[in-house]
Amino acid sequence: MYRRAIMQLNQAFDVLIQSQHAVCVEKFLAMNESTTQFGLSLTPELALELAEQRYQVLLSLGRVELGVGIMTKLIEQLMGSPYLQQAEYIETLVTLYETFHYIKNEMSDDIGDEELMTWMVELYDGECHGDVNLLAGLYAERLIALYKNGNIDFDKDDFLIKETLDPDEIDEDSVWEE
Amino acid sequence: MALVKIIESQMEIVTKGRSETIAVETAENLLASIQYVIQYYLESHSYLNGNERFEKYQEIGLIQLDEDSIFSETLYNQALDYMFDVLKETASFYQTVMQKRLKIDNHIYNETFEQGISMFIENYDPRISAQMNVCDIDYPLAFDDLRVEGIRYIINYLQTFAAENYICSAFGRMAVEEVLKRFGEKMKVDYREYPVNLYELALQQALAVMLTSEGLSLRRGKNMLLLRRDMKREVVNIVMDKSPKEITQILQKAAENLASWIGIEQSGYIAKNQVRAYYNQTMAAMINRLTLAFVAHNFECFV
Repeated sequence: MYRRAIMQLNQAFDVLIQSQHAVCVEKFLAMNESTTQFGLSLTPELALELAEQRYQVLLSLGRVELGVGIMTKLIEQLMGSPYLQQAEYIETLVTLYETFHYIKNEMSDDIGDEELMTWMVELYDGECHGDVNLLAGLYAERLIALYKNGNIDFDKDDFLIKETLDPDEIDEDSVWEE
Repeated sequence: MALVKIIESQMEIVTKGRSETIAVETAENLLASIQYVIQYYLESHSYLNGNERFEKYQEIGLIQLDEDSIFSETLYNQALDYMFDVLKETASFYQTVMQKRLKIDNHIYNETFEQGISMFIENYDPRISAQMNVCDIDYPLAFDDLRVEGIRYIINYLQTFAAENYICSAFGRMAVEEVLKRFGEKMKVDYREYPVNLYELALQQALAVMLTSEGLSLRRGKNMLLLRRDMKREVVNIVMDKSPKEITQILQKAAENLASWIGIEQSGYIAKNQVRAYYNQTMAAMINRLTLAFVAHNFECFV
């Protein structure tokens, strides 16, 4: 009898992951209510595409997300950005979502969601001037390098010290070497 | 859905409430932990007969008319409570073992008990890692089932050690430590640092002593387990030119005499039959090993 309970447990987990797709589309479409005022919106097709790409990111990076909170928070925090345009809406979200999880993996989940998202959004709007590839490449790698060299103090509230991420102080070659 | 609630509460602990996302590997471990907890709980009822077990399963909601909802949050919570009770009992058993264990001057032996197991008990969290047994247990047992996971491994380890310690205690601390010292000299290693099972060392010596004429009048003392030159000669003479079957029989008789001498009885914190079963199990392996050695005229295993 207990074997059935255990089997059911494993099946339930698979169902749980698969069932997120529909929830995602629903939640993403609901975000239109807030984003339209900034000229950003998702059609049902685009929402489905975003959900699929989200799933692919999680799959390729070996991550699990219960709920859809990360993507919707990204939308909430980025929708007011002067750099985010409808034409690159999905691409930007997916790149940032992927970068978010990539950094999470590289930093062994030591960094909290909120800290990481705040850091990403501030950089996107600030030093990166909306260049999502600069954020996903140079800045993300620099942050990871700082972490791996033990230069981030997670006990401090402001551990993501902006000065250390100042582009003038970043030796691009050394980042890629790392 | 029950599972979402459980995993959410696990993630809250794992990420300290700072993240909604985890690595797949972490998620798999969390799922394995849930599975371990439920399985452990349900297996704990295996002593019940068919009807009793059916009633128990019904009571905890495992048997329901709606077959889609066997797994429930209530079942998990009951199982988790049970795991915490088991952890508490294990901690108490560990304290008893600590009090009863022989104080031997061996770093690995002492570190395993004073730090390794203690840290496991302190850090074991059935909510998120029930199946894990990550701890520094370097002291080797004569028989250690490494296939077992989680707290069950620690319980097995402690019970096995308790049986070994019970038998070693019959010889006394000084006698066991003296064998260890002589073993260190013979192997040219520092006996204080060497990872070796004290029970096997002592038992093998005791078995050899039992083969000699002094065996049945064995008295407790520092050198009781050491074989003098004349005793070694006696052992050689007893088994020399005997067939493997005859050697095995001689050793089995000595093992029986030794068991009587030890007097395996209820010890208060570990069951008599458990000690006896372990003695039989490890002695059978030892007799096989010694038979092969004696047939090959190899008597180097004794100190």
